[in-house]
Amino acid sequence: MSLLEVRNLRVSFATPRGSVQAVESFGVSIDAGETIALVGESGSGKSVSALALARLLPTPPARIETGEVLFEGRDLLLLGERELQRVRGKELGFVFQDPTSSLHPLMTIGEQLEEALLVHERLPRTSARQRAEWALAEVGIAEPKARLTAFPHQLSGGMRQRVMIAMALLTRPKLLIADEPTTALDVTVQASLFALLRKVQREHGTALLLITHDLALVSTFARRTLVMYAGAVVESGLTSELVARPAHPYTRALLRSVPSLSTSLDHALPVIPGTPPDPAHPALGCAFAPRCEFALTACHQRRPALVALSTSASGAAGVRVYNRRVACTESERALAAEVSS
Amino acid sequence: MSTSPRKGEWFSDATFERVAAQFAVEQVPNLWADVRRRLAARASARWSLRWLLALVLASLIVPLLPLPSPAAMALDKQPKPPVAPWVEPFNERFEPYYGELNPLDRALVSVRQRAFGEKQTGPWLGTDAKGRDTLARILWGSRTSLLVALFAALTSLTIGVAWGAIAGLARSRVDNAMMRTVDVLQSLPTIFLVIFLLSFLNAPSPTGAARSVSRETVFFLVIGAVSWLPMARVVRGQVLALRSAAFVESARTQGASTGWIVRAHLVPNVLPIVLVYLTLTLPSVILYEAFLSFLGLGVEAPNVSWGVLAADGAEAISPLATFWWLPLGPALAMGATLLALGLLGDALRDALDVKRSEA
Amino acid sequence: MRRFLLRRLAWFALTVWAVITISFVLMRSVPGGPLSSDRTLHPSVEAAVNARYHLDWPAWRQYLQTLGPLNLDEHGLLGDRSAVFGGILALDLGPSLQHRDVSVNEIVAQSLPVSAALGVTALGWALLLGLAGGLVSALRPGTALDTTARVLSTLGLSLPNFVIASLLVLALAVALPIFPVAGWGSPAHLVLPGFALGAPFAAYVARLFRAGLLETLSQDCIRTARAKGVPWRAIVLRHALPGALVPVISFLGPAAAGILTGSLVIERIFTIPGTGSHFVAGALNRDYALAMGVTLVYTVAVYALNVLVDLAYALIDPRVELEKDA
Repeated sequence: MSLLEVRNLRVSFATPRGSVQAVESFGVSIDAGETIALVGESGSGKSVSALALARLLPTPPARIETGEVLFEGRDLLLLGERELQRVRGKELGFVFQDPTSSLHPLMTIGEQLEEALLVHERLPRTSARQRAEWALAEVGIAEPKARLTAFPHQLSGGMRQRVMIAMALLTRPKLLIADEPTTALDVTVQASLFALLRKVQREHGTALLLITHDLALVSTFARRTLVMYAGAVVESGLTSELVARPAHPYTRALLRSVPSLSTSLDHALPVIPGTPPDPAHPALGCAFAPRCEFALTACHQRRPALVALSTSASGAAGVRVYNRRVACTESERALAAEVSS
Repeated sequence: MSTSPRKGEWFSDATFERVAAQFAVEQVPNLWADVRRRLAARASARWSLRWLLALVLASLIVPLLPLPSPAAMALDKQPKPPVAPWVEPFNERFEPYYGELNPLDRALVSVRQRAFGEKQTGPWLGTDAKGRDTLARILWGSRTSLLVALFAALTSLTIGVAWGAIAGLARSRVDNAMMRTVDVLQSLPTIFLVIFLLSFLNAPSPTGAARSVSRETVFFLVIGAVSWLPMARVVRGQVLALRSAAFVESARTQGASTGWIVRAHLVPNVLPIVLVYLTLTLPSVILYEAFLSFLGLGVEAPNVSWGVLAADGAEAISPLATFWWLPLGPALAMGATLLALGLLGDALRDALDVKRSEA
Repeated sequence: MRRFLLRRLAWFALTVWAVITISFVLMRSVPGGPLSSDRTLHPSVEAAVNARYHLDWPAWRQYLQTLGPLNLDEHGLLGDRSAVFGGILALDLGPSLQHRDVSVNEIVAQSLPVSAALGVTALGWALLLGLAGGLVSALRPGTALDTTARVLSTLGLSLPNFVIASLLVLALAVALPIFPVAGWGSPAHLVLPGFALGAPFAAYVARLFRAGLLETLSQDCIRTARAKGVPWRAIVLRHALPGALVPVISFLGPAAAGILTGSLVIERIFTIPGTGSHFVAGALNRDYALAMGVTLVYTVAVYALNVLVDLAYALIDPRVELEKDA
């Protein structure tokens, strides 16, 4: 049994101009200790999905329409608030995008770290403080004891995110959800934070759901990757295969627009033409069809479901496709043709 | 020479102004049309506006209405309770005593006399201890409140806005000096100084000679003098914020002149907050007037104001005899007006999307 | 911290000086002496009175004596006090012009506790009703409870305190004789005037607190706390409350000033022998020494309260640096 199994999650937001479908269909399955990347451009619904599965979205305006979120076999969407609180922060840790706004400005680092321990483990304050200090040391913060009495604004951005990571890991959660943990930070700090995440993950055996828009990062980090577009997962599979042989045209376009040092500046970086669809006015067919170079008439009329890539096509050429899924009418044929040629 | 515009040409002042002028023409009316629509969509805003317009109209034409004179007394020992309009709609006991009137009002009153003669409304809201009609006094009293509000609005819009804008645009030293002045003026317990000032003018001159300035003039000057301070502060804050705003910076780097920036960016962006603060200033000034009149430092008899009426009403309360209509009438009139201004201000703030910062 | 206090002290001194000077100039610029209003005195008596209150001195000398701490006097003001340095800087507000043989200090000492009790009651009402109303509104936004609280708060903001006072007396003292109509002496005498004085501020506190709570509850750090599994009650109390209280606390300074101002009217309506009613009586009867003394006392009170508010502000929010925006 996987640690987390999300099926068919649909989330909408009530706005003054009617309901907007933020997540159309989201599903993921994460095993214990595994790292999974969730990739997509901003507005694709990746953060909303992650927040929705722990019911952290404010309702209203958000509404979870359908779905199952099985965490160790229990459906989080059906739990009472009190039982849910026992899962959040205890089994399920979060690291958010912007450490500056995500830390409470009026509470000391120590108070914020200890809080989870006091709530979940009912530790006496002194031992909670001791654990908080260790946690700070573990994420590489110098003079952890002195930092406990500091306020967030007295730390640098990178330090704050280290505090967030320490806070999320304090209760030894089984799953850590990191929502673009380094987007708000310097590039140099990013690398060290990812090294840190990987280290603590390996030491504690924590599963990690890494939300990012950085495909280059994903290939070095996550075993499996999910690509989201316009509120739906459009492709998933082993990262190595997905990067080597993207099946969905959107994934392909996304990979092509990743700049590398070898890219000559004379050539314009390929960009995906058009703009992401307006979630208030969803298209009838495939959401990517208007921007897709391979789009057929059928793509505009019918929305493709996320289906496993046919093993017969790939199997014939002797390529093993591990749990590869894609939501594209055209790609299956195209990939099959490519593989068999 | 190439036909494609060079950079310098493209971003020349004239081109920029022409392009941006289109924007200004397109954008700003849209904003105001939008604001109008949002205000109209709100029932509280519609009713507030109706009440305020009705009040302004009534206060303008009150000498023409077939009301009793607010100053004419009857030698009653006791206030008379209200008589419902359907019981006694009119009587013929009109007494044309108004005290001193300005020429325009005198003309209006004579028109009223010709039109209605001795006819006047019955005591629909009762009378006070001197037999004066409460309804007439409330309507005549509204003139004082509205006049004070108008005066305060004018000083806020002229002195307040100019002071704030100049301080915000000027270099740091001028700005500093101007704002410290506002600080000192605001930290002074103005109400005490005002009472002080008015009480001197309140006392009869020992020589019996006419005072060089009338108390009412001073009263208005004083209210004007204190009412512009918050406006100056708010305008300066907004101008300062706009000066370093990205779109102003970008206009500047594209070579827009200062005059252009003021016209295209500062004025349209300062206007909403000025309007919102005006709706905050007006009730506070009306309250201020009522407060001073309540203490007997406002308008002088036979003139009347809501504060005077409220004071009379408060004095009429005793456990022995309940003249409930005396405090209730002015209370409702003032409450409704201030409520209307408050609701209108809230609606305007939401429609213009102004964040209220405590000034 | 020390620099902040010193700086505020300097501003305070400047303000006090401005109040004294402006009051003094106003007093001097009035035609006729302050004692000439009620009745005409015999010239010799008038001269004696003028001498007694230094009205025969040149202006600069009167100003210096008023300011103090000096003793420019040879014969003393109140007989036995002749040896004492007078003037405001010697904490001597001088003799009352109306109540002969009573000093302004004595009047203030007698009436200030009365006004303070009234003011504290009003502030108590304001905070109690305001915080409760704001909390209820913010935790159940959009419900009937929220709407009721907001309508009440809009009403409270629109009605002047003397109107509220009149209506309260009509309802709860005349129609239903629960509380005394006016007067002073028992705790029951405090209820209605305190409420009338505090109600507009309660309305404003409720608004500020509601907006503050809604704002802090929508912040990212609240989401963090929820992600940590902190119970909702603890989130509201520990995470949202301090931030939401900041605007309320910074309103306390203006509120205190407003309550002092309002007390002038409320003390008059309820015939409460407080400092405010003495001030009004003094101003109306041209007892300048008394009026100026009370003005100064109130200036000091409001100023001290504002400093306290700033300190409390810094205590709640560690990001506030007192030195910077003193």
